[in-house]
Amino acid sequence: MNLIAKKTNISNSFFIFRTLTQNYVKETVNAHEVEHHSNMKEYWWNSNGPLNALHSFNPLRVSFIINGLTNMKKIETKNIGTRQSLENIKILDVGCGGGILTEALARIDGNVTGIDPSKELITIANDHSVILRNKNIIYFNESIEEHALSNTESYDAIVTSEVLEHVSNKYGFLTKCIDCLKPGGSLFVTTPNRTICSWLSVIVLGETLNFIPKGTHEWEKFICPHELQSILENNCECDTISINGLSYDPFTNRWSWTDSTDLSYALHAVKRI
Amino acid sequence: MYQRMIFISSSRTHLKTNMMLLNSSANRLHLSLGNVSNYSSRKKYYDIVIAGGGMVGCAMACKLSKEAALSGMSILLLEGGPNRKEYDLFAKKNTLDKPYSNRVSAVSKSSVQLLQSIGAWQIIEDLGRNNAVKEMRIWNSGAGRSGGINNVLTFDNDNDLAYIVENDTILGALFKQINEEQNITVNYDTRVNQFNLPDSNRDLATVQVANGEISFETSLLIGSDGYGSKVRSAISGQQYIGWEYSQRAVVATLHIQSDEDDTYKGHVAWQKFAQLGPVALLPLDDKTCSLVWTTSYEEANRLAELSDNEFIDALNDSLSEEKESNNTSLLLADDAAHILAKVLNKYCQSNDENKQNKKIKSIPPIVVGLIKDSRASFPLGFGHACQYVGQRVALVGDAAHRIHPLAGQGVNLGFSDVTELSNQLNQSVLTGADIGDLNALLNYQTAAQRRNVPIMLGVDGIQKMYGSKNNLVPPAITTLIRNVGLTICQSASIVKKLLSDKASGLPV
Ligand SMILES: Cc1cc2nc3c(=O)[nH]c(=O)nc-3n(C[C@H](O)[C@H](O)[C@H](O)COP(=O)(O)OP(=O)(O)OC[C@H]3O[C@@H](n4cnc5c(N)ncnc54)[C@H](O)[C@@H]3O)c2cc1C
Repeated sequence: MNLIAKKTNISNSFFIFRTLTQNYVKETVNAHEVEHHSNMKEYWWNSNGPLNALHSFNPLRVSFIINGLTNMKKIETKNIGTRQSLENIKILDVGCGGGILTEALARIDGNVTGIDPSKELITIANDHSVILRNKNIIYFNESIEEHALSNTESYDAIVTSEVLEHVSNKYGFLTKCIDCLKPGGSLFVTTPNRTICSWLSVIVLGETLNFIPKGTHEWEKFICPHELQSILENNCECDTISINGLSYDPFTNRWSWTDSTDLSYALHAVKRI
Repeated sequence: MYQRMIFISSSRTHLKTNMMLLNSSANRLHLSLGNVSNYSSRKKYYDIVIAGGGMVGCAMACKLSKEAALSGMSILLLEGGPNRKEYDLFAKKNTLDKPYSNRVSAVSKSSVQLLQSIGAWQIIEDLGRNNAVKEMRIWNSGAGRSGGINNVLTFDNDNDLAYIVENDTILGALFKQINEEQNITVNYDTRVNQFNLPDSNRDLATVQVANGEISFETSLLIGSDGYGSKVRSAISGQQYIGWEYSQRAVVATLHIQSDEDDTYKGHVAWQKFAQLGPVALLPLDDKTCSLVWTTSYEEANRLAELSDNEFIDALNDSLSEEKESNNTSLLLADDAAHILAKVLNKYCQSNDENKQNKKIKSIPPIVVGLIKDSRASFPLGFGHACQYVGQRVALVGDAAHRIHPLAGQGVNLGFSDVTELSNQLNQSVLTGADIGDLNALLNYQTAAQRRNVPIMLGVDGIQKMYGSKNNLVPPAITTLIRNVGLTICQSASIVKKLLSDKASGLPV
């Protein structure tokens, strides 16, 4: 019973996630039509619902960001280990969706901007952000290209989580992200790897066993850590600080760090000064 | 810190416009308009509202206010009862011979650690009203020919099984700490009676109190309102498994005559599995014990009618009762148990062999007096909430689980809940989660149930096994099970170790 419910949840989650993210960035992705979901709000913000994998991912990805910024000495000493750790840090969340990660960053006092090309998602994000009190959070319905026009070198950190795998023109997308970053600023990426292992688990196992609807992921669009690293280092004037493997257990809905980047990974790079 | 009084006098549409205006304003300042309900009333916001200021609720408030990650969060504690003068610890200190309260708890080591972390244990120690239990002596009514105490659990000095502390003292120490925390507000004589728990985390939870025009809004409601919890029934999809044991616990504070040569004088807890239920004597000092006497309803009523002297006689009879000792089937059972003990001994040679070989010749204590007006009795029951948590709500303590006092675990389970919930909230808030984040709450539920449920089933099992009048099971078999159960405890040091580790609540 439970298992079936979980399966449906997970497959729903990937389905919705795909429909929401496929029209990703106006210029960098061929626009797909967004399928309107009747109660999208419910889907994004029900932490026990279809997108629960994104909700339960927060503790890991937020601590990855905090640790990265701590290592770069960007976090004020008095704020380390408190819930004000991102105070005075300007962050851009590219592809913020309904704001699951964006809100978490704002809650620990980050000065956060979320952008997403989907108008509907920005509406959901705005609507939900009412729950935050006196926090610095702002959303714009625009692509990274649009945002980069007026925000050159203005952020201390850029975050793009579970987005890159849906972007066709990775080079264009990443250079625009880096344009918005101050020299010495940090870029944080999480995305699935393109390996036999991820192909087996996501495409073969996931999709044939119906955990994930067929065709959700275009595996060819996935990017390997070394490819990402080489774009960042050769074309974007960045240095890679760390690459960590991630794994997800759909049955317990838990994420954990692993030594292997075979399935999914998180990358931290810094823009050269 | 984020407390803000919001007077909502305008209509719903008006609020919506306000909200949109705010959304578009440049500074993105958001007020708490999340839970726009149909009624217009005064609502006061607190980050955390704790319903029920018993030992567990008070410990929860202290613990949360001490968490570094939660510092500055506003906490409201709503207690249905009055601000009792018994909590005034100075009064306790000044009258050293002030009689003990009849409600005491055996506080395990992990609970002591919790109380230490919130500064309450030091207060209790300074008052000197904590008494270490160094040995537990257990015997049963069917002990037969072997007679006397047939089980002794000894605990190393620095690894005491538990401390006996009056509930009042614990509460007094906790309230003292609470009063020193600026961010905790306590409302006494305030019974919560209605809740509006949200479906989504976009909205806040609302708490209404009986005959008060103020209602409270909160990001997280914690229910510590005891076994009749109202918060529990407000959780959607809640299933509560509960039953009453047809038993009552008779409590009293007693004077006992103890063996002068006893190395552990004043530090021995006695427990007898009598015909009608377990009788426990918890040591308060050399001469004083707190009684928890589990017995049938009828017997409890009969005992209540007795004079103090008659009560003492009845208790002494019960402690030394050997009702079925001349029953042959019982002797058979006893023999079987001894054979089993021998077999077990063969295979369970262990490092604390000394203790096992030590001749156990202790006799049950003799009750010689009773502190006036210290007699009372309480109903006993079992309860388990299938959902400890929901959207913006969590249960701790007896609100989530109720067990038989025979293992003295009730408040200890509650204190473990406090530690667990507090850890989970601390971690999740550090990574930017809302304090009422459902994932953190679910993690708490998993961890707490994984720990509590086996203990609850174990205690219920023991209760059933020894649980007095079970007409369906022939007495000889019951006695056999009892004896075997106890003999296994006595012989198998592994089991013994397990039992004491579990009983002290530390991870094995
Ligand atoms: C005879 C007996 C002996 C026991 N011995 C031991 C022992 O040795 N060791 C041990 O660990 N445990 C023991 N227990 C169990 C222990 O007493 C309980 O587990 C413990 O008291 C539970 O604490 P709590 O704070 O969760 O609930 P409670 O102590 O029941 O506190 C609930 C509080 O909430 C308040 N409240 C209730 N409803 C509302 C409302 N609607 N609004 C506002 N406030 C409300 C009440 O006034 C009360 O203050 C024993 C129990 C009994 C009956």
